[in-house]
Amino acid sequence: MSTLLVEDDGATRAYLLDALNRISALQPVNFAVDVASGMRALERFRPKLLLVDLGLPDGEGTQLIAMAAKMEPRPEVLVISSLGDESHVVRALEAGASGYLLKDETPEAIGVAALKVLDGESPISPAIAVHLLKRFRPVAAPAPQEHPLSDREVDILKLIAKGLRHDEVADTLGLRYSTVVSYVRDIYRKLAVHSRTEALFEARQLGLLRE
Amino acid sequence: MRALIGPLLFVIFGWMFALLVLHPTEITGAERLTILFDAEGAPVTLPVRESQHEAPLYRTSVNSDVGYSAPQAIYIGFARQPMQMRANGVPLERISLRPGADEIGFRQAFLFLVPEEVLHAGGNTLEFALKPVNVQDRPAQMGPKTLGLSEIWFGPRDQLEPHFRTMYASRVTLTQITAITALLITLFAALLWLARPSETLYGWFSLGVALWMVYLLHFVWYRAPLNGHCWLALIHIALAGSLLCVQRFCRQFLAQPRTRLDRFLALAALIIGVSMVVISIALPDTLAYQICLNGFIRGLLLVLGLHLVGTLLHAAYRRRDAQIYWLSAAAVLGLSLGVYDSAVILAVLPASSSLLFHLGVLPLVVVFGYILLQRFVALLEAAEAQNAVLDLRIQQKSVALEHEFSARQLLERERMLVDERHRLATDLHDGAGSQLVSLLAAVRREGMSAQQMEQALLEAIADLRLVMDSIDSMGSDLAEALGQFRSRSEPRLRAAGLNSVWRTSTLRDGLKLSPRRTLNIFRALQEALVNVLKHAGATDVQISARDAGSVLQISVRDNGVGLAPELMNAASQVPTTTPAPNGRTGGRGLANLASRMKSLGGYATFSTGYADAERPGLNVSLYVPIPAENETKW
Repeated sequence: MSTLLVEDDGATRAYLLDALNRISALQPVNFAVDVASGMRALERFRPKLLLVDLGLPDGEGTQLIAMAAKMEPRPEVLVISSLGDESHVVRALEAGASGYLLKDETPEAIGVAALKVLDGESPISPAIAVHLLKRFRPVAAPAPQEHPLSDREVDILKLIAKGLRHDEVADTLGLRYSTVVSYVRDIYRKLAVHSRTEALFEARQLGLLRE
Repeated sequence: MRALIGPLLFVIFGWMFALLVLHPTEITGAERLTILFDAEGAPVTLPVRESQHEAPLYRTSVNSDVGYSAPQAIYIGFARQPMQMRANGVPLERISLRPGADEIGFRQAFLFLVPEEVLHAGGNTLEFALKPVNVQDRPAQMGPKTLGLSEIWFGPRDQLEPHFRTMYASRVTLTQITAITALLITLFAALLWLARPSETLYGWFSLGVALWMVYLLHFVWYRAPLNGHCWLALIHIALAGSLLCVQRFCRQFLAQPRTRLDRFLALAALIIGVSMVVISIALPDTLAYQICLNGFIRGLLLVLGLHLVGTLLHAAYRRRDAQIYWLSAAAVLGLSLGVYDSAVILAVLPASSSLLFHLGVLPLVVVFGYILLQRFVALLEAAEAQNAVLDLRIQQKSVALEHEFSARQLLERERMLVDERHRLATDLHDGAGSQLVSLLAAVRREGMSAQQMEQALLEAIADLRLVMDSIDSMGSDLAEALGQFRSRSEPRLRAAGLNSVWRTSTLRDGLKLSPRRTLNIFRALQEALVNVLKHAGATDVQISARDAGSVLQISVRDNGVGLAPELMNAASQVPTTTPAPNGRTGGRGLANLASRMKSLGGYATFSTGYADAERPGLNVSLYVPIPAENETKW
C-alpha cells in the first residue's frame, strides 16, 4: 500500500503530506511536482492511491489520471480541488478519478477522505451532482446515450444535488447506505465511459476516425 | 406593328375558311339541269332566286342512250321550300341527315335517290312537287308563292352524295357548332358577371351573344314559334339588339363613355324594332312589311355594324393595343360576312352560295375568350409579381429585424456582462475582500494568534465560496443552491460540535432565483449560522426552507441562549448591537442580515426557538419574495 501525491504548490504539498503521513494505512507517501515526474513516479511506485492537482506546471493532472486508469492494478485517484472548481473535478472524474479532496479541509478530514476512497466510497458534493445531471442529460443529445443513468441513479443524484447526505439519501429512497455508496461509484464509472463514447462520437463526427 | 399581324391573319384565315369550306365546289361527272317546265309547259330557268311562280309541279327530263346500271341521284344545292320528287312517276327517297326537319328546308341542300330500275334508256321524266307550307310556320318571303331553287344536278349517286354531305356539314353542322360555342360563352360570361356584378361588360357581352343565339335559331330551328312574319321581324331585332350589346361591351372594354350616336342608334333600334313588330302583326304580307324588313332593318343592321367596326378601328388606331386589334379583326370579319350575305341575297353572288353572317358570332366569341384568357394570365402574373415584391419586402424586413434583434441581444449581453462584473466586484469587495483587508489591518496593528487568523481566513474563504456558488447556481433550482450551501456549511458546523438538521430539499423543483438574490440569501444564512456558532452556545441547529406561493421562508433555529426579548419585538426591526441584559447581543451579523432582507424586498423575524426557559434558543426567519417570473437575470 503506497500513496503518490502530485502537487506543485509547496505549502499545500507540505500540508497534505502532513495530513497523509498521520495515517499509517497510506504509507509510504511519495510525491511529485509536475506531470513528467508524476508519470515516472507512477511507473516506479505503482501506488494504491494517487492524489493529483489538476493545474500542474508542465501539463494537466488529467494526463496522470488517464495513465493511472490504464494501470493494473488500478490506483484510486483523488483530485486535489481548491475553491469552487467543481467543473474541473467533473473533468477529472471523466478522466477516471474516483473522487476529489478539498485543499482547505482539516488534516483529519483529508485522512478520512483518503481512507474512504480506498474503501470504495467516492466523495460527491451537490455541485458535482448538478454537473453530472447536466452532463448526462444534454439539452440536445448529440451523442448516442450508450450509458445513460438509470432512474435510480438519477434520483440519487437529484437528492445529492439538494444537499442530502448519503445516509439521508438512503433513508429517503429506502436503500442501504452501502448501496448508495456503490451507486455513486457506478455513476462515476459511467461518467468516465460516457465521456469516452462522447469523445469517440465527436471524433467520428469530425472525421478523425473511420467507422 | 407586330401586334397587327395576328389579327390580320385572323381575318384572312377566317375568310379562307369560309370560302374554302363553306362555298360550294364545282361538281363534275354529273349532268346540270337548268330548265324546268311548269304544268303549262312554260320554261323556268334555274337558278331561281325568288319568283312568283306558284305552280305545284315542275318537270324536266334526262336522257340516256344506254340506260343506267348504277344508282343515280338528284342533288339540289339550295332550295327555299320543301319538295318531293318523282322519277318516271315513282316517288323518290330523300336522304335526310336531320330527322324531323325534313318538312321545311331553308337554304338547305337536298339529295334524292334514283334507283337504276326506275330509269330506262331514252328519256326519263323527273317531277318536282312543291309542298304547300302552312303560312303560320313560314315567313312570308319563303312562302309557297315564291320559288327559290339553285341548279339541279343529276348523276351517279357516288358522285353527288359526298358533295351533298360536305355541303350539309358546312351549313348545318357548323351552324350548330357555332350555336353551342356561343351558348357556352354566353353562360361563361354570365357567370363571370354574376361573380363580379360590378364588371357589367361581361353582362353586356353575355346578353349580346345570347341575342345572336336567337338569330342563330333561325338557322337551326325551322319551325317558327310565332306568326311567321312576326318571328322573322323578331330575329332581326334580336340581331340588332345583339349588335347594340356588343357595342356597349366595346365601350366599356375601351373604357369609353357612351356617345350621342350610341344613344341615338339604340333609340332608333328601339323605334324600328317596335314598329317592325307592330307592322308584322298588323300588316303582314304587305309592301310596308317588305320595306321595313329589307329596308329599315337591314339598313339599321348595316349602320350598327359599321358603327361598331368604326368604334373599334378608331380605338385601335388611337391606342395601338393588341386586344383592341383582335376585337377589331373579329368585328371586321363579322361585318364583311354580313356584306357577303347581302351580296348573296341581292343576287350579286350565285344563289347556291352559303349564307355566312350568322357565323360571324364565332370569331367574336373566340376573340372574347382569347381576351379573357389574356386578362386572366395578366392578373396571375400581376399577382405573382406582387407576391414576389411582398416576399422581398418581408425578407428585407425580417433581415432588418434580425439585425436589430441581434444588435439588441449583443447590447443586452454586454449590459449583462457589465452588470455581472459589477456585481462580482461588489460581492468580492464586500465579502472576502473586506475580510482580508481587516485581517491584514489586525495583523499589522497587534498581531493575531494562529487560531484567530485561521478563523478569519476560513471566513474569507467561505465567503469567496458563497460568491462562486451563487454564480454556479445560475440555472440551478434553489433547492440545489441550498444543497450546495449545505455542503459548504455542514463541515464547519460539525467541526464546531454543532449538530445540524437540514430541511431544505423539499422546495419545489424549478424554483430559480437570480444569482444576486441567491447570494444575498446565502450571506444572510451565513450570518445567521455564524451568529449561532459565535454567540448561541447551542448544540443543535435546524435549517429549514419552504415556499408558500410567492414567498420563500428560510428559518435557522437553534437551542442556544436566545436573544434579549426587546430585540425580538418587531419583526422587521433591525437588531442593534446594544448588549442585552439577559441574553446575547444582536451583533453586527444579525443587523446585516435584516438589512440584507430589506434590500431583497423581504424581511427577517427573530423569535424564540424553543419554549425552554433555560435555553430559549433563537429562531431567525428570512422571508424573501419570489418574483412571479423565475429570475434569469442578475
